[in-house]
Amino acid sequence: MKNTDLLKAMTDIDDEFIEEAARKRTSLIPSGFSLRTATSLAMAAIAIVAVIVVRPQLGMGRKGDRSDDKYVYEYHTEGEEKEYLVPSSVSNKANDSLTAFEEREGEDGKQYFARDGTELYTVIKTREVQDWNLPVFVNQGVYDYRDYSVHVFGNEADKAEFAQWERNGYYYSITFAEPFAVEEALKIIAEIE
Amino acid sequence: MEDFEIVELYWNRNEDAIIQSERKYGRYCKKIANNILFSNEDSEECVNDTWIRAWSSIPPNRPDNLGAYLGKITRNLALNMYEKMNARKRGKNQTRLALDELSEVLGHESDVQQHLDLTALTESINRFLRTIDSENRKIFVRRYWYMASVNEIAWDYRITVGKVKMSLMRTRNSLREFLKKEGFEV
Repeated sequence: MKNTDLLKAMTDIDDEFIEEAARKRTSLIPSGFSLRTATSLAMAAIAIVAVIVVRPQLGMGRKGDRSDDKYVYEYHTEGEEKEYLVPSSVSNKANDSLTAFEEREGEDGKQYFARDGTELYTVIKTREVQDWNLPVFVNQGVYDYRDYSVHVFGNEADKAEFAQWERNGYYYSITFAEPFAVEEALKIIAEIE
Repeated sequence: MEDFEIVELYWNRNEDAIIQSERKYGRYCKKIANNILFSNEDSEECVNDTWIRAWSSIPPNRPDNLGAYLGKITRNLALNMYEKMNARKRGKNQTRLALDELSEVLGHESDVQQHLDLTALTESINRFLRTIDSENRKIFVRRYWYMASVNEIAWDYRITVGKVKMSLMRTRNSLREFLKKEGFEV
């Protein structure tokens, strides 16, 4: 017998096994989340409004001080108001990361990110699947978006605390500082693309 | 469009059947082909051939599960193409890696060409798959039917790469013992 025989014989295994393995995500979907279609997510992405105007471009921002074992965040000022600062991309040897903060309006009417504002989320971009130090959650949902899927985790129904997705050979992990409505979380993720 | 509606289009010899198949299962079939061939161009050729094969085989066939039906055609075409190209194709694509792993099941390839009934082997594999638990089965099928990488499986099932490798190794060993008992020379 050749080992290709075994692979060929595998082709005609019962449909149920093929289907079972194709439903790779459904077994992981808990009752806490409801699935959204790609269409609704795409529409949600289009409907992004100015509440959160964060357009992170991972890996494209100015680099902060490098560190082997921790991320170093770099800030630069936006306008003359020194207290209003915009976080930009950070990087260590292997990964990129970004923390976004709640937007605030300055006295001049311009929109700024406040250094002392509420932290919204942190995104980490890695070459390998992040299977280290993963928090444990009660709920998980998978949302198909364009040609990739976003795995969303949380402990409350329809709230996201953590999400991961794979895109162009990179794995992205986002940690929300507070449980975030899944709809809003997905809008943010759609923006990060 | 539902599968049965697409199948009906095939039966009515309506060429929309191919358009709808491509729309619904094009990406799925492409992924299967690409995991085996590791080439965008060759995968596209396989997927295009899949629609032609489907067109010529439905009717008389009326598949209940169109996705699996089309996936099997694609996989078959891709494996045949892989075999033909293997002599000049090198590299560690998923097919090569999967074959390396499956060689553990088979020991070494026999120099004497054994007459092999692939249908009987498929039936044995089906029986074997029914004996193992769902999690290990899904990992096994994802690896050796879909040719997904170990990393991809770990990602999809939210488990570590080590756990996937361990599961695959145990399942391969069990399969080897199972096939021996079923009278196959491994």
